[in-house]
Amino acid sequence: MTTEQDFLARVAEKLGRSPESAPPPFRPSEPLPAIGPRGKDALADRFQMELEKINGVVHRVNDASEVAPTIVRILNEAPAADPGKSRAGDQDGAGTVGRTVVRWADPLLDEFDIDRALEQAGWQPVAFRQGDDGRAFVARVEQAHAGIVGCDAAIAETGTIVLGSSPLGGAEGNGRGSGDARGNGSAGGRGRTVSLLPPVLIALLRKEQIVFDSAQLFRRLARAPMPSQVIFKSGPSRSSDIENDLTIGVHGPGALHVILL
Amino acid sequence: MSAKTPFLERVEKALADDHLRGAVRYTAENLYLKRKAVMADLDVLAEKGEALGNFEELRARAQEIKRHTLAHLDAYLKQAAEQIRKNGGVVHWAKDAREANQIVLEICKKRGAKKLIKSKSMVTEEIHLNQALEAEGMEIVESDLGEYIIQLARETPAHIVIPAIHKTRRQIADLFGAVAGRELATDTKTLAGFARATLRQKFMTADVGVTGANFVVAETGTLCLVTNEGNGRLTSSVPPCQISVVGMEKLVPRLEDLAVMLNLLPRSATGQKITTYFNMITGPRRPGEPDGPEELHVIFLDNGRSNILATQYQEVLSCIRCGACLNSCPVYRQLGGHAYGSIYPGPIGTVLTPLLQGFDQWDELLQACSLCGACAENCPLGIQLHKHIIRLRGEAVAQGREHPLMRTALKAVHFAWTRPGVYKFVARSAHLGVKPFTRRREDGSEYLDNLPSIAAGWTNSRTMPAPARKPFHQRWAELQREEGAK
Repeated sequence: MTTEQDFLARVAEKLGRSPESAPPPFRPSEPLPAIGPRGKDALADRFQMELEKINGVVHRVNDASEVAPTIVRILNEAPAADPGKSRAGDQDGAGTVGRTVVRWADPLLDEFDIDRALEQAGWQPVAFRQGDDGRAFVARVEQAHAGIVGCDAAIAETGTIVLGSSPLGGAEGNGRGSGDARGNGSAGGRGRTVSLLPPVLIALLRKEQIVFDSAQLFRRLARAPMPSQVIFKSGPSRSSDIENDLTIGVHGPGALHVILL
Repeated sequence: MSAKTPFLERVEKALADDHLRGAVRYTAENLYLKRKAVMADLDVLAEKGEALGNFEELRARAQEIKRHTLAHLDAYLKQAAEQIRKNGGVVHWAKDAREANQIVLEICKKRGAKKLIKSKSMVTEEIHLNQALEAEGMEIVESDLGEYIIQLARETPAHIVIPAIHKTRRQIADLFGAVAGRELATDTKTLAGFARATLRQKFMTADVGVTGANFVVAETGTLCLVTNEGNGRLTSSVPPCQISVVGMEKLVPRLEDLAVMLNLLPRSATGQKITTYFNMITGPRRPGEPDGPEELHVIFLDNGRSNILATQYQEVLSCIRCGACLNSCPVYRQLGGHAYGSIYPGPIGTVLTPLLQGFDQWDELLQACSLCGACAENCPLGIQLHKHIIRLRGEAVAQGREHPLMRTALKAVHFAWTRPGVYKFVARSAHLGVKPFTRRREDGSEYLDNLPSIAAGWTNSRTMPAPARKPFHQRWAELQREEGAK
């Protein structure tokens, strides 16, 4: 097998470079410009417009107390899961299975008393607790009707929500609800699959978390250690692989609801 | 004339397949127009100060990023590898396809893995990973809807971005029906729903997920996947082990550089402002996290790429595999991807394939180009593909790879065109030389038909005007004499 040393030596030799330890800093001839509106309301309006263009649904709420009822309303109105067709292996436990809702165990969602509202409405909330078995958790996520997550940030330009497998660091000022500033390598009550496997995804976003463009977000990410996974999600899963016919919900969720607080 | 070459046989097959040609033309045109519209929007947004730049500006930025990275590639590879290890990943180096496949096999054997699931990746097509794994008795399933269709049909992709561009819903329903063991309806919802349910089961039971990478960020060791369906996310979230095979040219220096690339790639590929998923992976699952792979392996692949470094073709390595050159190419639109015979079709394939694998099988590909330059115009990295095709043609000729008759014919042309007397003689007598092939229309105009041998291509499917009985230079001289007499 080729070793790292041989591989890199060959590349360096072709380039006529003597192998060095560190790469030269890249400074583009012109830095990326600051773009777009800055006002919270303008950013929220733009975010909503862009997300609606790509089949996402935005629910505006003015008060934290409205969050949980809005979630329940979305769940009650969302089309019932189609067992056996859209999800694997849930033919047996009809009834209870379709009533499971998974959510992040995360400070972003703590203050809204979501579990109690869900239970009162007949939904069964599930979250990962430290020490739980990961495989078993993923299997439950796979059977759930919906996933509920908080957003770490959002990009107005493209109607994109940003989800980390752990909180993103690097926020400027008091990035409320955006995790600790140093970025976090562990402490995961979130889970990558919560936003991925269930057919419905509900994401909570605060107005002040919205930036205009991706460059602002990448600069923020560069200021702190990266979580193991960061997702930019723009609308529900889609494909045009069958005769160019657009279809929604191929592998990921077929419905994306953003609650904008 | 000798028997048809494999390339010409493939071309003939493609040209005879009306369904394939219709589907390719429709999809390519559709993607071409969507790209054009979204780029026009981008220019308007840039004007308003609501985009990082218009197409030209972003392209210049992207070129600058890639030029810098490629010029210092060894250093950036080293930095990326160090970061990936720091994040808890394992880095492997493969000089060719054989080594890359061997590494994947060894990782699987060590884990006792038998079942793999893959998200869409051109580089694993390039190294024929599926065949290598299947030969060892492993199961590897494609999870991109288009790739899954192609895998069931035991074919190769016809397009970089839309692999099953040429399959009808009837054919897809038959392929899926064979898996289901029952008849399936042909509507998109049923078909996509069946694929979702079947592949979901595969994801839940897979031992290893295999991905490529659209970009790797050197400063953080982050792998980036750009997808619409979510299969890239599934592959990197559900199975207990992830293996990513990465062409060594995929690096960018900094996270911020992704902003430029992310503005260009989805727009160029599918006419979208952004894809549904942009996935950044920085190491395996961390302590306390409920899911994600416990092992992350990254295989950096050379496979001929280092031979392109520091040559006049180096910019070809800045390709981000968007497929815009395919959609704009008049030859690709007529043929589709299979006729090229290479995993990389269209203008980029015409250049990249002989560069990676040599001329022996691929010199003929260089003729599948009209040098119109639409590819370069649409390329988000501004790669001058048509100019590279001319250069490669020159190299092929220098190696004596052209048709022997062509060499003789061009020598004759050179002889005549550099000697005014001979030129005038040829121009005056050309119509006599081609007399056996000259046909006359009712209006008196003449055209050539059924030219022999290497000239046959000119008259097989179109008419070629016959040489004038009185050549232009003769008429010009006569006109001037008349003018002078006035």
